[in-house]
Amino acid sequence: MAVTWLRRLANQAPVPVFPVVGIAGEAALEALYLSPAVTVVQSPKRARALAVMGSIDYRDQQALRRVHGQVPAPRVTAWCSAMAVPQELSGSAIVVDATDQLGQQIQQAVHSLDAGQQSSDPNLCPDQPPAPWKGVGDGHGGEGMMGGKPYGRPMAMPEDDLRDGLQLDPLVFSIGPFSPLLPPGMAAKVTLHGDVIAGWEVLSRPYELTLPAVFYQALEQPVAVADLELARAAFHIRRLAAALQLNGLGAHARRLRHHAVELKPGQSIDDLVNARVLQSLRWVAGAGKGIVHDENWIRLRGPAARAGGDARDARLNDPAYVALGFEPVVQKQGSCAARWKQWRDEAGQALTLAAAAAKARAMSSPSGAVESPVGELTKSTPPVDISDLMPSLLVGLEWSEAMSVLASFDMAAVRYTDVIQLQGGGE
Amino acid sequence: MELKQLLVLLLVVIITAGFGFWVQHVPGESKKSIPWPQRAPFLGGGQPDTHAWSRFHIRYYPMTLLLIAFEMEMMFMYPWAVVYVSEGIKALAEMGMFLGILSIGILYGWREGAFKWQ
Repeated sequence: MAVTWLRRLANQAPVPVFPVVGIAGEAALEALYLSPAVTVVQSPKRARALAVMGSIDYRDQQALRRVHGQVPAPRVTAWCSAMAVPQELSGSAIVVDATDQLGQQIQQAVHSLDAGQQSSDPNLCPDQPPAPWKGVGDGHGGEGMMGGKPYGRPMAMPEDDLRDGLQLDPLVFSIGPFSPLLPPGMAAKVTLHGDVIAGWEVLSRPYELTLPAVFYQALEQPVAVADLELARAAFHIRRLAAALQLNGLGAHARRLRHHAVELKPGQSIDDLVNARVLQSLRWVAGAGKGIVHDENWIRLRGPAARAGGDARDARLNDPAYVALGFEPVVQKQGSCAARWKQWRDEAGQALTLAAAAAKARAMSSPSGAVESPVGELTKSTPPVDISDLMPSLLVGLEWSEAMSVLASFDMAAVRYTDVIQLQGGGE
Repeated sequence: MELKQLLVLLLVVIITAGFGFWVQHVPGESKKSIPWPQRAPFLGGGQPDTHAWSRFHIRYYPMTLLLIAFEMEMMFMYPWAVVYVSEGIKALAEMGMFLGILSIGILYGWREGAFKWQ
């Protein structure tokens, strides 16, 4: 009796889930964040279930297997993707088509697993040492104090430390493509000197970003400006929530994500989150870093460019926006904190514009270019990838500063051709 | 009486050691070993290229040295304060020498940037 009661009580707790986000998996991830049935965790070792959302590139399949192997057994895999489920998981993975049901179904599957009604996923990686011992005798396997290949991985050789010129060992590893610290699909080879980044090589670029459908529609046909601006505000608010989460303010981030789905025209951004919470982002590690200089500056677009004082904005060419008195918001510094402030200010401006547009029933004019939340979206040149700018920005920063800088950029290219084909549009 | 005390002590040792062995082994029977994929660090699907056994600069190291320097000073000063009145000028000279040597360490720490928290 007591055990049944305790089990019922335990079953009400949200299930920790680690998300693996692929191409077009953004909407499912957002649904997962909003679901009361699950908690999205930052490491598979804390998770009971793995949620695969969107299509995973073929070259990242092995990485997916490694992440799957890091979720402790017994575990559940939820498959919310157009891709076929791997053969090994076909008997145990739960396939979810409706993203709004994802959290609920994961919770039910974990309960079934605990009750013994469902079996755990099999291991996709062999239970063997990934790099077996190749050393000589005891110790590190080399000679003297350095060298050798203990456990199949070479010992680091000393090199000049960036910060104080000492001869110290660099730590080299690859991170991604499913790290919550990087955009989905992005992998990088990182060299660390202590906590300072000494090398950052992009191994694979982030998956293309899928924008809310209304921005693609606005390229082809007139859409309500209020809808465009509400979608813009929600996009920026979700990105701010990610920045808050990165800085350890998970509860505020969760609240902000919930507010983002029920935005109303004319709402003030200060009603959604305590203004001081967002202002505190000015003081986090790396807030003053990440300034793009010289010839690379021209490659920034949208809010990132406006955060450095460049007032380019496709909305200035739209008569509907001109009639509403639209003026782009700009910052001066072009730093990480300036980009976060730009998102906040643009979200606030979008809510005000949405109220004015709803009153005037304003419709956009398709002119071949739409200002999306990540920059100008046109049929010929949608926003392109800028992840190759990162090495010059990140080298020399401490790890925490670098993660802030990464979280303040729109690095991924924007999906265009296949989205338009799916929507039945295009030329 | 002494034998009785020794026996009690022996009993306590046996019970404690027995409990330690029980805790170590009995629950472990049902515990499976951690599989190899889970022993690797989580890098979002990435892998380490070099062994994690690497030497890097512990930034707080000069500050810990400084803390030890001050702590040693206090450890010497307490007993010194007790005998200061009876020993007189001799104790004062000894403390003067000690603080002089310690000051050199503090000046060295200062030069090395130990007072700047990085």
